[in-house]
Amino acid sequence: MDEPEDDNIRNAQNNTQDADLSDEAQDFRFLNLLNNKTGTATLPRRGEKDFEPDGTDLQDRVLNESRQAMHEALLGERKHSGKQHVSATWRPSQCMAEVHMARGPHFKTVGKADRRGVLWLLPEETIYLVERGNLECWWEEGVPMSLQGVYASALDGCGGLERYQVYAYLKRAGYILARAPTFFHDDDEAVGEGKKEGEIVGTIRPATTASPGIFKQLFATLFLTPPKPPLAGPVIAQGTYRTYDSIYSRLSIIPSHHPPHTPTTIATAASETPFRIAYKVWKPQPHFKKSDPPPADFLVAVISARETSLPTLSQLSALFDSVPVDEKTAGKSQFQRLKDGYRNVILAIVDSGVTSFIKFADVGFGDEPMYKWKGGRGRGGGKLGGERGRGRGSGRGGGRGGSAARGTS
Amino acid sequence: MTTPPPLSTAAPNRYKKPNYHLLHALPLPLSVTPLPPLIPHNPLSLVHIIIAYLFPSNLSHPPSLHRGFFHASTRSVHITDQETIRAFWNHGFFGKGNLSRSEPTWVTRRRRALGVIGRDEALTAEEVTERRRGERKEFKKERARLEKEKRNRQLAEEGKLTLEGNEDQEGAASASSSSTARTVHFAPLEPPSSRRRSLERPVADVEDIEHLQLTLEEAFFLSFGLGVLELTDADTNKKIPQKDILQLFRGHMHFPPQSPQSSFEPDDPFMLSYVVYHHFRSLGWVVKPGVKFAVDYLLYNRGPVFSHAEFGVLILPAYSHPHWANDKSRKEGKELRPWHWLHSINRVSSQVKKTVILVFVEVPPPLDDDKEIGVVGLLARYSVREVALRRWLVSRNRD
Repeated sequence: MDEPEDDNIRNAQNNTQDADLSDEAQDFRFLNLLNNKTGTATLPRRGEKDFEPDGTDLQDRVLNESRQAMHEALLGERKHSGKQHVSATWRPSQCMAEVHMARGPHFKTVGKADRRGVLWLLPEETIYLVERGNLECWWEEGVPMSLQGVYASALDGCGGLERYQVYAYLKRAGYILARAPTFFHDDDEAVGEGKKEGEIVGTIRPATTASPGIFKQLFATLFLTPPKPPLAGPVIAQGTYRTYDSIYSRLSIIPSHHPPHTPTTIATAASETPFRIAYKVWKPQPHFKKSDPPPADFLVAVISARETSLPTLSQLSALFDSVPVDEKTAGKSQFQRLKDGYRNVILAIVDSGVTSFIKFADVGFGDEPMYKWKGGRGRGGGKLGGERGRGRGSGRGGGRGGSAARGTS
Repeated sequence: MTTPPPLSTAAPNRYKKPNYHLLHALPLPLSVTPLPPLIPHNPLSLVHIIIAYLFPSNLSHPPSLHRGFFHASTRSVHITDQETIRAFWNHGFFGKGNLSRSEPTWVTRRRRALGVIGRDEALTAEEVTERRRGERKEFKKERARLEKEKRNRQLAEEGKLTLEGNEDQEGAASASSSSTARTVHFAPLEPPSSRRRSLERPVADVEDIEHLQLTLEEAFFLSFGLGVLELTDADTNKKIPQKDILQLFRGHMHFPPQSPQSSFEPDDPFMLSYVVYHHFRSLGWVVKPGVKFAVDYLLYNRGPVFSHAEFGVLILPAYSHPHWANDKSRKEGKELRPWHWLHSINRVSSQVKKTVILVFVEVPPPLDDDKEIGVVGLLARYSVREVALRRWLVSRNRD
């Protein structure tokens, strides 16, 4: 993709994020590579981390160079070319910003044109672009707006500070975001109440496995009917059992939840305010059409860690009912199905500015009995191994490789 | 961190593992008798099936039930009979040895210490771990030594370490350098041979004083669910009737223990944890307590000797039933958990590569008389729903 000059710096920022900024002592010399104008294709690698001074001049030199590199990166000239200048006027009546002339790559994913062909920016898009230095925003009276002014006038329209923080965080990381239909809180609680009860009960079924077929059933009733268990137990009375499966299916007396595996109706009404999908999120992609977006890769709800606690079962259930079934799940391995679930939601939990994302997945262990898993030994072991390998080491490497690839193209 | 040459990656002595697939072939301490196969072109096979059906050769349960002793003081059930210990551990991984990490292996370790068995004979899980840690410690020591050598070479190049350079090269391993640089000190590792002094003359044998201890949930599953365990009260030495066990265990999950005659709430701790235990056991998982990973249970596929636990289970009560609508202490006290609580558990679990499962147990309204519907009916009034959690990392989901 042909990104303009200023996006190189963004890619570089992404890379530092990959490199986990929480590591305190970083080697910033890699930033030197950003400042030379040769436009090298390879992204620089981070240096190694030292834990204590060892008294060598070499170490001091490395540290000084690193420090210098960081200062130079910060001193780097930030250019703003007249050709790319974009300005907009904040319209308080609409709570949106009217763009005078859209230029640049951002507008591939941001803004919405009305029938007259005027491009409008949502409040969070306005703050984000102004904060990035890509947009100059004006008051209606013809006075330029300060960043503080933009925040003051647009933040309310974003649905609160937490939502804007999550929006800007994901946007900076390269994702494409759009408001979900459930962004606003609708006052249709009355409709929601009745439905909620039914939905929870509807998915709970006794755990006994589905009827296998008429002959097998007949056979089972004729030959494999052990006596009914006495009231105080034991469930497995003394007798003759032909398979362990029959013992296990007799043991399953506790009803459990069975999530839908095929697309079902989406009920958004029951989900309550904080536990509602706020944003649809797509992975970065070059040919994104904001007028005709593909199905979202992730659905994110934004929650304040200070004001809410963990969702209760009914809140979670309503949230799951408001998202579509992920059809890719059916093709995954058993363990992966139990981890990813047929429906999943990402909760962005914002604790005064620090955001952590947790994926909540609607899984059904009752659908995946382990005693039926015949291929467990060889196949399962292999799959498990693969999963473990991917866990930490190469996952990070993959992320770095990915951004490097983007940089080169 | 510099990367010195790998020192002890290949384990020097591969000990021989027992054949776990054979040893733990049965998933439960019950035996099954499969019918002989039906061969369509051989009519005799049908006769064979009919005979096998009409005259079952052996029963599912052992001829005399396994015995366990309920100890109120330790809130657990003790198994002392060796055959029962083997049956419960090998077939379903129930319980743990009271002197061992998991499998009761105290006697093996003791016999090795006294020189009855050889150094590498029948290694227990604890000993394997101990050796691995020892190797790791050696590796770290060696790595620190190499790093120090490298640093000293650099210092010598810079002229900061002149005369004592040669001397220091030799003394590097003993970590007694007089240079200005700070050094990493490790406690001297004592040679493994001196740890356990083998006796001059071999002892005849060691008496096994270890017992298997079952949690109350495990004991209840074995007695109520599988019907292979009968319980004796260790204090009175009287058999506990099957119908009294549930009330006894419910009472003992409180502190101080409540009388079995008292009426218990439907969300008392034993019911919630047993419902979840039974649910996962009935699906074929091996369920073990998960307190060392900050969760309620760990779920193993087939058993801890085969693979690490894949899932950690957190039990959460859910009060969706209209009966609880106005119960503020439950709705706001027990149902709501703070986010930091979940974050810390999720962090611990992802560090050990386990997925946290929130298991919501839907609590039914109280019944007037529990006895009418029996334990099976009582358990069937609860329902469970699982929600899997995973940290979602912004930088790793982009492509």
